Amino acid sequence: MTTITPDLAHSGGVPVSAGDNYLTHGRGIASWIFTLDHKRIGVMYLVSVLSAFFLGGIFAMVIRTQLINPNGAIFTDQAHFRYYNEMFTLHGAVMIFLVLIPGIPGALGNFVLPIMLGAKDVAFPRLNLGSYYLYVSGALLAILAIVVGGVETGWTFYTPYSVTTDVDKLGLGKHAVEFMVFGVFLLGFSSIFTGMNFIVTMHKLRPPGMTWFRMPLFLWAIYATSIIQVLATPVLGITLLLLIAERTLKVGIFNPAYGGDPVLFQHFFWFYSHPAVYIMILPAMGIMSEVIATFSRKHIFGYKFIALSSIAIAIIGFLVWGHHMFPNGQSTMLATIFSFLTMAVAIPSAIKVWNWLATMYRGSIDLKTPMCYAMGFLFLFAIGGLTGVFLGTLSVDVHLHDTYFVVAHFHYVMFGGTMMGFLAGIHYWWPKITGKMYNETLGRIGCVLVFIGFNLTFFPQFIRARTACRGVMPRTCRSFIRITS
Amino acid sequence: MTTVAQESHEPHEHGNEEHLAHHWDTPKQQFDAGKLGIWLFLTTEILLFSGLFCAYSVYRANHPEVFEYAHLYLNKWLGAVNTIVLIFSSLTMAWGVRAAQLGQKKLLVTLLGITLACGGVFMCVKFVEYKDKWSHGTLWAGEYHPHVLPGGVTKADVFGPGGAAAATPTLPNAPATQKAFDGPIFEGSTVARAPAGPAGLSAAWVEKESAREEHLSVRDTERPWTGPVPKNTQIFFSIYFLMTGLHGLHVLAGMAVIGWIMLRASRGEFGPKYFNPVDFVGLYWHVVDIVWIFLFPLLYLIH
Amino acid sequence: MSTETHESHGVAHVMPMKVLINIFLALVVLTVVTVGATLFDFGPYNLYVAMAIAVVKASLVVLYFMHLRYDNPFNSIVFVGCLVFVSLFIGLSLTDTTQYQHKMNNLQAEKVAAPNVEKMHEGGGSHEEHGEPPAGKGSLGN
Repeated sequence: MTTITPDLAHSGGVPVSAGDNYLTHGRGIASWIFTLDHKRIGVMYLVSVLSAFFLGGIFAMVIRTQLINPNGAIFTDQAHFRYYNEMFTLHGAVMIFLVLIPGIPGALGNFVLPIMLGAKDVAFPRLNLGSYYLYVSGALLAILAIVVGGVETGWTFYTPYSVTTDVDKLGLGKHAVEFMVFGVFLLGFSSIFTGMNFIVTMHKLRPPGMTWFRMPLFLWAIYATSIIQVLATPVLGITLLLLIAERTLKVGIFNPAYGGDPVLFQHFFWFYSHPAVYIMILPAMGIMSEVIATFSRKHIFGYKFIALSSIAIAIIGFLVWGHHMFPNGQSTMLATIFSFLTMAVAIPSAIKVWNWLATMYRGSIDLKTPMCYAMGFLFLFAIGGLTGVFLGTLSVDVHLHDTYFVVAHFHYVMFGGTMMGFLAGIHYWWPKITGKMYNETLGRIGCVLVFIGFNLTFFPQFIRARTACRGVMPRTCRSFIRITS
Repeated sequence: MTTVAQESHEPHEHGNEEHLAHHWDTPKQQFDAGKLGIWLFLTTEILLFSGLFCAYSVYRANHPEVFEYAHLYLNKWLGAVNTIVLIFSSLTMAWGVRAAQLGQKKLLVTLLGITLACGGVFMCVKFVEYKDKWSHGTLWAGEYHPHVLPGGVTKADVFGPGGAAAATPTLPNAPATQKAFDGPIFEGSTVARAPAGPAGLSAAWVEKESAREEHLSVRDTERPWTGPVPKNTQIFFSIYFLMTGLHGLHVLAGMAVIGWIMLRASRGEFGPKYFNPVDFVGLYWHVVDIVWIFLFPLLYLIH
Repeated sequence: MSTETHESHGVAHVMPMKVLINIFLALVVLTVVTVGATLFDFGPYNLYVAMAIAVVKASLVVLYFMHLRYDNPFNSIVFVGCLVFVSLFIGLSLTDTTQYQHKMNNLQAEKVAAPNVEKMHEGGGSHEEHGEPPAGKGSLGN
C-alpha cells in the first residue's frame, strides 16, 4: 500500500491526459486530510480498511495458534483464557465493523461510484469526509478499548454478560466496553452517512441518459447496500446507546436483574446485524457482476434480474433476523416464521449466481487476477450459501447453533464472499486508482494461495461440527459434550 | 445534521449562483438533493427512536400494570404544556421557512428566535419535571428509590413527622407500608377506612389526609390506583428517562442548529433563491415535535 | 430531471399563512382532545384512541408543516418505507416477547430479584407478606 502516490509522468504505458490527476492535483498532507474529492477519500478508506484487515488478521492468527494445541498453545490456564476471549472479540469486531462493512462501499464505492455514474462527485462531499473521520474515530476508540481494559463480550455484545463484564488494566476505571460500544456507535453513523450520500447521489446526480436500468450493476448493489445502511444501522445505534446507558446508569432494559429482557437485546442487535451481513456481501456481488462480465467478454446475462435481486436481498434481509436466536429464548412460533423467511433469501442469491454462470457460459474467459478471485468467489460463496440454508432450517440450527459449523459457514460467506469480492475489486480497479498495473503472475499466485489457505482453514470446521463443538472455546474440544445456551 | 445542511455552502465557480456547489447544475437540483438527504437522515432518526418505542411496547405489553401505576408519578399538565409549546414552535418554524422563501429577513429572524425560545421553555419544563423525579427518588432502575407515592405524597404528609411509621421510608413496592396506604390514598380501595376519633386515627391525621386528597384530586382523580403496587415499577422510569432524555438531547441539538441558522439569517444569507438550511433545519425540528406528539400520550396519558 | 428552469421561489412550495395557522389550531384542539379523552374509559381501546389522535397530529405535521404533501413523491416513499420498517421491527419483537414472557417471569421469580426491590424490602416490608421467596442475587444479577 505504499504506492498510492506514483509519479504518473514516468509510469510508462499508462496514458495520462493532461498530466494532472487527482493524485497530483494537490500536494502535502493537508491536501489529503481536508480533501473533499471522493477519489482521495476512497483511497484513504482503502488504506484504513486494509490496515484494519491486517490488525484483524493478527487477532485471527492468535486464535488459531492458541487452538493448535488441545490445551491451548498460548493461554494455557484459566486465568489467561480471558485473553483468548479478547482476541476472539477483537477479531470479530475489527473484521465486521472496520473491514467488512465499510470496506467495499467506503473504499471502492467512493472511488468508482461517481465515475461509473457520470457525476462530478458524491452528493455531499463534506458529509463524505465527515463519514471517513467518524470511521477513524470509531476505530481509535476501539483500539483505546483494548488499551484500557479489553473487551471479552464477543462482537455481538450480548447482554447480560456485556453489562457485567469489566476489566481495568490501567486503573482508569472499568470502561473498556463503553469505549468499544461507543466506537461501534460512531462507525454505525459513518456507515449511515455513506449510505445516505450514495442514495442521494444515485437519485440526483445521474446525468441525462443514465437511466436506472442503464446503471452498472455495481451501482445497483451499492444502492441496495445503502438502503440497508440507512434503515438498519440506526437500530444498532440505539441498541448500543442503551447498552452504554445500561452499563453507566443501570437502566435495566436488557438486564433481568432489574426486570429487563435480555432476549430483547438480541432482537435489537440482530435487526441490524442480520441485514448488516447483506451490507457486507451485496457490494461484493456487485463487483462480481462487473468482473465476470468484463473477463468473460460478454454482456451480463439477466441484467434486470441481478439488479432487482439486489433490492430483493436488501428487503428480505430485514425479515430473517430471528434465525440468530433459535435456541436463545425466542418463541417457537417466531422461530418457525423466521426459519421459513430465511429460506426465501436464498432465492435472489441463487438468481445472481445462476446469472453469473450464464454470463460465463460460452464466453471467452480470460483468467486475469480479478477473474481468478471471481471464480474463487463463486466456489466459496456456493458452499457458504448452501450451508446457510442448512442453518436456516430450524431443527438443524438448534443442533448446530454456536458450533464450528456456523463459524465455517460465516467465514465461507464473509471471507469467501465479501473478501474475495473485495480483492477482485481491488485488482480490477487498481490501475484506475493508482495509474499502475500490478504484476499479473504475482496476483494469480496470491489468489491461489488465498483460495487454498482459506479452504484448509475453514473446510475442516464443517466436519468438526459433527461433534457439536462450540466455536468460542479457548481449548479445542475433545468430546461430544454439547453446551446448551 | 448540520453537515447535511451545510453542503450547499461551498466555494464554486458559478458566478451568479452564490450558493451552488460545483457538482450541481441548478439550484433546484441542489435543493432537491439536500431535501432527499435530510429526509433520509430523518428516517434514521425515526428508526433510532423506534428502538425505544419498541422497548416501550414490549414492556407495556408484558407489564401494563406497571405503566398504569407509574405514570401517576408524572404530571400530565406539564406534559400538555410542553406539547403546546412544541406545537407552537413547529408553527413558528414552518412560518419561518415561509418567511425565508419570501425573503422576509426580519420576520425570519424573529420567528427563529421564538422557535429557539420555545425550545428553551420546553427544556425548562423538562428540567422542573426531572428535578421532581430526582427529589422523589423516582429515577431509572439503577437509581430507583422512591420515597413518595404518586401525586407527591410522602409518608410525613400522612402520618406527620413524628408518626410511628414515619421512621421507615415509604416505598411503593414495599407491601407492608402499602397496606397502610391503601385505604386513605385511593378512593376505590376495597379496604375500609378506619374510623376517626379516639378509637381510630387521630383527628390531625384525618385532617392531613383530607388535605392530601384534595391535593391528589388536582393531580389525578379520574382513575386513582386501586390495586397493589406492581413489581418492576423501575422499568417505567428507565423507559421514561431514556425516551425523554434522548428526545431532550434532540431538542438541544435542534436549538443549536436553529441558533446557527438564526445567525446566518441575521447576516441576510437567506432569500427566495437560497433557503435550503432553513428548510432542512425546519424538517428536523418538526420530527422532534412528532416524537413528542407520541411520547406525550404514551407516557403521561395512560389510563 | 435537472432541466427545470428556476424562478424565484420556484424551488419549493410556499405554504400559505392560512394553512399554517389552521394546522396549528387543529393540533392544539387535538392535544386538548387527547387529554380530555383520559376522562373517558374506553376499556382496552384507551391506547388505540390515544395513538389514533397522535397519528392524526403527526400526519398533519408531516403533510403540511413538513410540506410532504407538496414535495417530491419519492420523499414520501422514503418516509412511509421507514415507517413500514419501524412497524416490522416493533411488530415482530412484540409478537415474540408475548410468546416467551411467561418463561421470563418464572425466571425472575425463581432466580433473580431486582436489587432495588430487595433494598425496599429491607426498608419497608417483610418477604412473607409479599409472598416472594427471599431474594438472592441471581447469576444474571449485576
